[in-house]
Amino acid sequence: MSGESGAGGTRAGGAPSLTGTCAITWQGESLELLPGGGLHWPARRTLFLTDLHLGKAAVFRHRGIPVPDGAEEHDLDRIAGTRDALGLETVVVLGDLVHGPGAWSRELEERLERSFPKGRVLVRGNHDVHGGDPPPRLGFLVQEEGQSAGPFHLRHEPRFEAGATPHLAGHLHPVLQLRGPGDHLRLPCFVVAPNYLVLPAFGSFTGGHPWTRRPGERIYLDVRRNGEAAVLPWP
Amino acid sequence: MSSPGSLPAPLPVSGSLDRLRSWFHVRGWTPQPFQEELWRAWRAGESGLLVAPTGVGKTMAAWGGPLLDGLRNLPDPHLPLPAPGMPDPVAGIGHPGPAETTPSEPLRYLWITPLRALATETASQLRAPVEALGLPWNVEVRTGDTSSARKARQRTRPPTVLVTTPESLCILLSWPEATRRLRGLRGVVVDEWHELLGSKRGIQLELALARLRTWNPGLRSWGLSATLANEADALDALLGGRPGRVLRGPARPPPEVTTLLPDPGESGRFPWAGHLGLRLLPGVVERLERLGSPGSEATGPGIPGGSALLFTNTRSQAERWFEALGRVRPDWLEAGRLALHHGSLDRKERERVEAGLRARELLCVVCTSTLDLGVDLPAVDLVIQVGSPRGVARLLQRAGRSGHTPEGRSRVLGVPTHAFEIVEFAAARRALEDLRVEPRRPLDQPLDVLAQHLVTVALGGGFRPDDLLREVRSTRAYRHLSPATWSWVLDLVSRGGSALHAYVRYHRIVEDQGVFRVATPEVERRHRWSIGTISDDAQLRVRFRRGATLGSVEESFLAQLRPGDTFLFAGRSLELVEIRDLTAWVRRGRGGSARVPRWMGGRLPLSTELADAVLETLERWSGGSTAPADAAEPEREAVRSLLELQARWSALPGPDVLLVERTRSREGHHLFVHPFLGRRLHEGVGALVAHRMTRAAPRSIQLSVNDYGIEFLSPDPFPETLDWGGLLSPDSLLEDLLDAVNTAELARRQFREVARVAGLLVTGPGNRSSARQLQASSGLLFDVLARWDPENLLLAQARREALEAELDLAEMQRALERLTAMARDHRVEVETPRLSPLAFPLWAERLHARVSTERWIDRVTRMAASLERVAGKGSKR
Repeated sequence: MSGESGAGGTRAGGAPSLTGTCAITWQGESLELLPGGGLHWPARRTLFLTDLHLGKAAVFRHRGIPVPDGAEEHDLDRIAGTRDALGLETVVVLGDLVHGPGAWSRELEERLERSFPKGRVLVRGNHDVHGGDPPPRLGFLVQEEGQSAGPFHLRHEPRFEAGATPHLAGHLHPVLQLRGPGDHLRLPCFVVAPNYLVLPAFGSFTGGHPWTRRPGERIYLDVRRNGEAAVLPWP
Repeated sequence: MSSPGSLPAPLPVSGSLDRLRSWFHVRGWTPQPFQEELWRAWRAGESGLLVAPTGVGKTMAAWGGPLLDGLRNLPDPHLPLPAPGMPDPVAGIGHPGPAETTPSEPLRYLWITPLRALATETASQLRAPVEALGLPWNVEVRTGDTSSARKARQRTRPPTVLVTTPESLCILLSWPEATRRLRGLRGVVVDEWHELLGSKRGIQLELALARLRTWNPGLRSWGLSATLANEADALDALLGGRPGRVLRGPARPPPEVTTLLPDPGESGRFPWAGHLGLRLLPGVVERLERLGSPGSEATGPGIPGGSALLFTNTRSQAERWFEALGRVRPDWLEAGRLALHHGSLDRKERERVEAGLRARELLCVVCTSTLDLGVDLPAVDLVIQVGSPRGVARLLQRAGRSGHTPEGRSRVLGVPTHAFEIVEFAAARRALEDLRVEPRRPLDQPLDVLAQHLVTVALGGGFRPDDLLREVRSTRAYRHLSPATWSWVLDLVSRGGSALHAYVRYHRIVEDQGVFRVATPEVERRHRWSIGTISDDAQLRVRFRRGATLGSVEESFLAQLRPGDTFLFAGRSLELVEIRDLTAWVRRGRGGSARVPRWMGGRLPLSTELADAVLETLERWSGGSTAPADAAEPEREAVRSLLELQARWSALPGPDVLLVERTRSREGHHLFVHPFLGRRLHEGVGALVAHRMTRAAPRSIQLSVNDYGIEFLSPDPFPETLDWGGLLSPDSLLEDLLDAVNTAELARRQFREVARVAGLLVTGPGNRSSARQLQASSGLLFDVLARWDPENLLLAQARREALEAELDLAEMQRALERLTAMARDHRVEVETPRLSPLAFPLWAERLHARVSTERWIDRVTRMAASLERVAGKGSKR
């Protein structure tokens, strides 16, 4: 985590930005944690996302559980909105783009085509193995875990051993549980450590798993309340 | 006299009746008038409800009818009669062989029991006369515990009599051949109907009975119930509005309730939860010692010593008492005469304890509601109730565990854990004498249960919507079901939801030429699996690192622990090693202070009936305080100084008096209101009043409640005169309550059960990846539905249930009407210089939520001591 500034100047001249973001420097790169669960890398006009679980509601319905549509469209609209606001060129999905068998459909393909920028990368997650790769016509670069993008390695499942190469990951759907008297909050969070950065799940129809903080980790809460959203560092 | 048309010409009634009577006589019994009356009613084709206390012969009252049917139908009238005085009447008398091998009849009788633990025992009770009278019937059990081999055999060759649970009955209804198998049914008996009434399982059974009646219009159904406040509702729910009658068994004398009283001066005048609890341990030990010594208090001859059940209100309290008793009498523990029984313990361990009770090897079992009913046990000599009995019916049920014979009087020893519970036991005794028990209110059209039922019926041969609607509406629960709501539920299981929202590719049940059937075998499998799991909390197993499983604990408790922490469980001190694979791995703890799991459900509120009885008792005792203590109510003397102090510093509440106290302290301005409505209603009323106060003038208010009252604490003084009429007004109750309480969060929690019953939550065996892909928490489903299908009626149901279950809206409406009148006519508003005995526990309760237990005990003790000093000075003056 050295303080090299590689991405100077992107803010000049009314450069695009979103509200509620949280800027950090990690592995010498300037990054933005976006409300709703994305990691923005301005220097490469790239957005990292993880665990969209697209088609999850359809998988449920197909097997007899009545879950309405809506979450998926909402999530893809958010991606399109971020693409337009930030001028994104590439979206990198750190695994679990789709939920499972039966998730892919013509309709999903069309929605995805409309909302993603042209650059599309998928690091295959455990759910993608069952759900299948995106159809070739969507033009995804599909990779196994461990490929790199600049100074980062890209993984689906994070590795916590001391010697691990610095990597971005997802898979765990981290949430922080906050308890007050008579109140109980579960907030998705980013987990930032010297050699890994775990993103919260981007999909709206995904659950969360309580995070137990390890030494050396910093937590950033993804707070969504009453229409306002912000990423806030947790002390 | 009407009899089912399929019966052949009956034998003369007297012949069969004589034989049944003879069977009674050889067992040393005489049929009682109410039993014979039910037999006659059965014979006449009638249905109804039998209300009688435990142990008077309800089972044989209901079973005699079918037995007489069977005797009349016996092909061979020359079967030998059991003669009076025969040594072993149960062995098949002159009968050619065991009845089980020669079933000649289809399924004729269903016996529904609410608890599977009861099924085996019930079956053998029913089997005894069947075998002795030589009926060619077999009696079998089918519950969740039945082996799959036996279940499969029952499917091809059903027994004549099946003892089963509501869930297992629904599984029978889900088989395609259900109609054929169940069409020959002659009668259904529902045991412990009062237990099912008021629950979703009861509704499930109402729907199942409606199904059976469609196939057998002449079906006789009888419910057996303990004493009940609303018999008409119970009858109506059982019979779906068809005519029937209520029979009552002989009344038993009310239980004898005595209260273990602390030494004079020991109880103190400033009670709070847990204060007296273990202090009365020596008294309890002494009673047990007397009970345990041969011949003294034990009843029958040849019994080495008596036995007792010590009931607590929570599992944590049970753990504490077991540990404490074992510390005082390690010899009892070593001799295996002391045992612990609660719902979180491993089933094998519980069965071991139950066997010990049956063998009369145990002196005392510390237990919770798990032994309230459901386990068939011989009567014990004494029932000990630790802490508030909470409700009259509950105490009656627990008392029924002692002195089981029709003549025997139950004996209860009340062990108060704080001074006001002394009053509660006296009040409960009065209420028991008048048989003023709580009503069990049946639920009104829960849509989750209906959705589940539609899938069940779709599996069981399919349905045509118009026919099924008619059938469903014949139940009490759904008699007012509107066509719109019916269509919505039908849509939920067939199209996913209202047409406005997208539920593409949805398959659960599909229509084929007007008949709705289940779409896929997977849906079928999952549905059968989920029928049985109507309500279940996330539980983790507790297991030693090498070896035995000890039981299970709610996840929410373990979530508070870190590895290395010690906790008390199954009577042992355990250290948490790690949580992995849905298991909490533990090793023996090494001393230190152990935490006790705080299980959910430990906070049952005081019932309205008991609270009213407490107020009446206070009123009775407050009049003429100089009169000598009533000998029948020794409790009065024990709380005399407390009540005198309450009267001196403030005033006593009563059935028509609303007591309001105002006090100032370093913490701020306190307003104590004592409506005696029970904790749950106080939470609602408190939130409502606080909300209305802050709406009038913004201020911060802290709220604390217990079963007797509500405390409002504010840094700013409350207005000189408060508009109690407005604050307590029942007008716009729902509207204000929705603003006052975080109902969204309550509904979200309630949705767990709704989603499970309606089949939205997948709970399945094993951990197969196919099931894993369907995992979603109920909270997540709630959020998704609330956002993308907000009109979904299951959400509305969860909201309604949350308001009813958590806040008891209907009861609150009634309470507020009463309180407004009291506040107008009989309000006593007092300025007290310091915390009154009634206010003190509320203060302590609020403190408890904020500080550690050690600091809490410390601060509460100091506060109580300082108040006692002031009180002492006052009385010397």
